[in-house]
Amino acid sequence: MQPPQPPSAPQAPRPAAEFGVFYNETLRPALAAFEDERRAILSRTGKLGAGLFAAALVAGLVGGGWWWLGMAIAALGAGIGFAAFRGDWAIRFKTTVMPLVLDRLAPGLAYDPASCIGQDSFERSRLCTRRIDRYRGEDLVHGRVGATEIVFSEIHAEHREQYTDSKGRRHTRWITLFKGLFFIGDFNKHFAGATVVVPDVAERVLGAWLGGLLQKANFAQPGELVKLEDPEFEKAFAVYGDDQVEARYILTPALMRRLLDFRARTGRDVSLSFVDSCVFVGVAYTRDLFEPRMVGSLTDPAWARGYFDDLAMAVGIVEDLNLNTRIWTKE
Amino acid sequence: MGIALIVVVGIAVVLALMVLGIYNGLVGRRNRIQEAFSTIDVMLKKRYDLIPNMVATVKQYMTHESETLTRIAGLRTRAMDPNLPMDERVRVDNELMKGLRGLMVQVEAYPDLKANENFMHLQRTLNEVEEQLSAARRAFNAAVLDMNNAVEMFPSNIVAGMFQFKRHEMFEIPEVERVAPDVKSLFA
Repeated sequence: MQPPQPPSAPQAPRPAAEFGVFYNETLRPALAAFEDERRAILSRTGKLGAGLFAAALVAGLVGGGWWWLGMAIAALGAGIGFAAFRGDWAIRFKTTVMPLVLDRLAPGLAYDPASCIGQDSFERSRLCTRRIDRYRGEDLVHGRVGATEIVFSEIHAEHREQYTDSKGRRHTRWITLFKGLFFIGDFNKHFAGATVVVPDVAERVLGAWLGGLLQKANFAQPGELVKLEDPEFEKAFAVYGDDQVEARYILTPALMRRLLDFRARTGRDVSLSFVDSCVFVGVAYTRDLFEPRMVGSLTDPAWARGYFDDLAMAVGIVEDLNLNTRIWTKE
Repeated sequence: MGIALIVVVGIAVVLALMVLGIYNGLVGRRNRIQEAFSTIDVMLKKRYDLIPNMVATVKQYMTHESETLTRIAGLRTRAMDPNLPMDERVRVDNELMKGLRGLMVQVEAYPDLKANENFMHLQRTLNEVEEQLSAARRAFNAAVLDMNNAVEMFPSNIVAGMFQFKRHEMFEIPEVERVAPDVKSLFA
């Protein structure tokens, strides 16, 4: 039997429930202004493309034979034109819409579209065990949610691998180590060591016994394997830590259930680590986050809801992990 | 004849290495249990160390509860007795925690005490120690589970039988500890 945990601190109501009112009163008018511009960008790109293709066609007919080169140049020109039309608009969209949504979710959070969590902070999390050769990101949000200091951004960390093919030619390929949303929050308990919680592929595929043996032999992870009592949690995650007791001090039965719920709600691979009294959370995404879409209306409520939910998920980590409960010595 | 001898010696060496490996694994598990048990002791000691401070702070405000405070101080002294048998120690410890939780409820009637910074800090520390104690017990149980699996599973059960490694008992979480203190309400 799991000992029950102390009740959590009173939280703000989950804002997603009131999305309809927020959408109609605040979000929709803002999105509508950008929707007009989106159409204008598509129209301008279309006109530019049509003009370039027509010119290429004429040049091809006159010049004979080389029409494909003209078409390629026209396609490239249309692409460059689209990027130029969109660039400034996308930044203005994000600097207008993101603060609106953030203000609704947790007033006081600051947003910087061009910055991201630094590589040193990402490496400090110990979630990445390979050398990072290329690191970039954007959409940095930081501030305080209740008693908890948070920062999150989109990041993409890659590793460069060189290999030789069967004909002896050398090639380079980039392997994504992490792409998605990365969150750092001030944890509500003090601790000295490191505890890492990663998706458990071995146990899911090979079963508890064989998967368990593989987990023990995973030298890439810091510390030693920590086997916890919750079978569902054990199936979903593998835990490694410097200290068996400290790992359990952090991962209480209640927090294990919360992490399972969080993983189910996001429907994505979630990795966490607890280092230097902070919690690091990585939620893997293949798509770019917080970008306005070009195909389809921005005022479509379903798309706006998805945009809102991405941000609500990030800000909601504070509540999901119960970080505002401050009943221990860390205030 | 020579090949047969080599095969027999080879099998014997492999078996000896297996026994050695399993034996060392069992010793490692036993040591881990002892380490986990001593961690529980450290956490209990931390909890006992907190009590005199708690009682001293509370005494200044709760003049009508001297009986409760005396009982808690007495239980703490008994729990710290090194000659106390394990069963009795667990019982005294449970009594002590029951007394402390009762005290926390009585604090409700003393708003000045509730607002006292020293008291609030002690209360937070007590929560922390409680959670660390619970983590230490869970670590102990995990170490015991690992040992018991090795003692019962093939082929380590054979080596365990040869060298008399025994099953260990898990730490039962006392009923009183299954009811978490409603500490949050004390800050309300």
